[in-house]
Amino acid sequence: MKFRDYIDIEQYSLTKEKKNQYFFKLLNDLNNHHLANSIDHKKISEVYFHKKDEISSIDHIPFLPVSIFKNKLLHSISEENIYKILKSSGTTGSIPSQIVLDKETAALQTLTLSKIISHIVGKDRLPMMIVDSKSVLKNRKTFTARGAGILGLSIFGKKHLYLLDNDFELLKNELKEFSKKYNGQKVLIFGFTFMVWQYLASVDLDFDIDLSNAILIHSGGWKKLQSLEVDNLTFKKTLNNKFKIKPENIYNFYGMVEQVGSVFLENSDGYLHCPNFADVLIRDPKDFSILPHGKEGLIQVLSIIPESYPGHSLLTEDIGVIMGEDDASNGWKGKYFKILGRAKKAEIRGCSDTFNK
Amino acid sequence: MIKGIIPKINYEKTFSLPVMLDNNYPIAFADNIVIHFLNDLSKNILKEPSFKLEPSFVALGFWLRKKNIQRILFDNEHIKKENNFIVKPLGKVLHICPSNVDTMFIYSLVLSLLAGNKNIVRISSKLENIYIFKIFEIFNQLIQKKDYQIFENYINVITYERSDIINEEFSSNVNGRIIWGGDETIKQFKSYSTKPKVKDLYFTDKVSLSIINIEDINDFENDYNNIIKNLYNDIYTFNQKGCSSPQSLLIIGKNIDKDAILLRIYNSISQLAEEKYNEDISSVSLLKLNQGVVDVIEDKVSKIINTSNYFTLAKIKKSSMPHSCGGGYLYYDLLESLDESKQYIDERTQTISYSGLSKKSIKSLLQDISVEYVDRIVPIGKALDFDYIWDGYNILVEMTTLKSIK
Repeated sequence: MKFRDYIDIEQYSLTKEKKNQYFFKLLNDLNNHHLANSIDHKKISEVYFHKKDEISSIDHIPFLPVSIFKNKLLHSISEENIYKILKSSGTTGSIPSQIVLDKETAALQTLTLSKIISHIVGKDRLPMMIVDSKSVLKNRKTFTARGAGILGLSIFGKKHLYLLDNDFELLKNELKEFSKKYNGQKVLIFGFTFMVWQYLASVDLDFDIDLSNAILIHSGGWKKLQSLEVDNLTFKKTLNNKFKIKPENIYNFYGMVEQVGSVFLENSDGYLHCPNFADVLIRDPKDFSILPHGKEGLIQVLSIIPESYPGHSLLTEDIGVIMGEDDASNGWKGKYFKILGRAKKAEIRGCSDTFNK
Repeated sequence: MIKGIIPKINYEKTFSLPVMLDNNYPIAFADNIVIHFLNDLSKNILKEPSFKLEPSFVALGFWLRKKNIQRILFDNEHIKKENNFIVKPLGKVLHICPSNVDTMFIYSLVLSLLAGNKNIVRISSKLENIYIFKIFEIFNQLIQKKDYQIFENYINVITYERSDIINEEFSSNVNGRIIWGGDETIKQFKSYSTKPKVKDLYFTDKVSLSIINIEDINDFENDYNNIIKNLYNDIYTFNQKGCSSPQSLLIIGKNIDKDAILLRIYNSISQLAEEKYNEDISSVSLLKLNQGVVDVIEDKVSKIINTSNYFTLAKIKKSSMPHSCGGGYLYYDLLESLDESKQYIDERTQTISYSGLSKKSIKSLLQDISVEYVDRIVPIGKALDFDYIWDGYNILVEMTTLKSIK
């Protein structure tokens, strides 16, 4: 199957057999493309992963640690074809990842992301509320994954309302106006998980708003909420009680700047679901061998989108477990998984470390 | 007055300047009261149940015993016997200690105490090891005893975030500074104003390597398990990040299948690490994957053995030994003769730990290389053993001053 045809297949419609048939072939073609066009990738494949022959199965495709994009600028295109370099740091102060894009890959990222998002939102652009301050986008110095996420998702909405002012105060009147204007209509809400919790779910309003037809998409991880003992269920319940948002219309997603375009949306069972363009494997931290479903280990993410840089197979710092395949209760096909946490930062200190750096 | 010093309060992050250490020095060089104090310290450390499983604290306990302290003093007895001068303490000493080896600051402090100095010991605020707090407790209990109250003025352990103001304040008030690296910190401290005659000891960034010289090991089969056990301890006790911990491994021998021996060593060490190594393996595996991939991209290595994430061996391509990321990542090479190992020895080389080197071959190796290279050559298993001679300094003697009399 051709790549273009594969992209047009309806999301979450491929069973294990079908996906194995198409996805591995496309991923392996992409791997061969990077072997031919990135000398770094070729060296890593041969010296680190001892690959000499044609690769026969998905688990044999070499993987890079996501941290490599903080250390090296990797690309499979010539310098003059570089369209932009995505930079993102999870936390301010840390070294940013640098992702090299050409026009094709950038366009592909947008296209595949829209295929996934439109599967739950529909084809039309919806009035959109963003639970953040516009200032997050303005200050290029502190431009982080948060800014990139907002920009990436905002193309699926129209008449955008940023809910917070520059001092991160909720714009209550604007919220009231928005909910009045689109009362009962389909709208899109996006924000980072902890922002949605802190600035929307936790505020007390002296007026009622009805967002019963809203679709809420959120991302960024549960770490901050865990310390408040807020889990996914509490999160959904609270938003439902306060704003009437239906729990089944609240979607968490997992994605990273190193693989923009292939995000993992939450399915109806609360697990993260592989789209057609992506897959996950779980590896044993002891020897990087593949673990079966149900066993926890390091999450490897595979995507057929990254052409301009060898980011098609990455070992993340997240620990997770595959919960099932093809049998999600909303009918979505494909693997689904949950994230259990993040590997502690390996901070092994040397003699030269007398003062904190 | 300093707040947050061991004698009074265990460990606090706040204190005020300036340091008020007076100019009376009731404790002499190699004073008996210090020897007794250290011996009591040793007893309390060795009988503390929670230290039993912490090799570095047990090692410290033994090192502080009267017998060992007397060995150090005996080695240096000549400076007491001289007729033409009298040995005296240097005065006030500032110690800037690393965070990679939890017990390091105590060794530094103890040698300076033996010399009779008053000490300000800056430890890293990253020291979070619960055993360190236990050590503080032991110190504090001892100092409360009537005989040992004198040490209140001599032992000041403090911590603070990086601060030029505090660093300079201390630097300008002391007679000696022991700066446990690395190069950046040394550069920093050289820029502060000090007393004109301050005596500085610098411990610069160093790397260490292990040599296994197969042919000169009498009975390799018989010694094998011991070599493995010792090599394991040298690598993993401090996560491979003590400067004297090996970052590289050289296997030497003619007419033997060195690849097979390397693989055998690889399997034994990784198995042992899987049983004993406590560090979070998810983090360590990612750290080493990243290092391996970076090394391959930078053409530093030509082959990587990594069937287990507990141990990684990377064949070095260039003749300068890089710093390892730690956690059990070693560079290696297979050599025909000891002579060939010289390409890997330079001014950054600190410790060579060996198996199968005679005193004679060690001496001839030192003869052949620059005097600027190598600080220690010790058997495998002893790489981490601290002693008063370190990085070319006799720390005890350096921390004294000599009064000439004719």
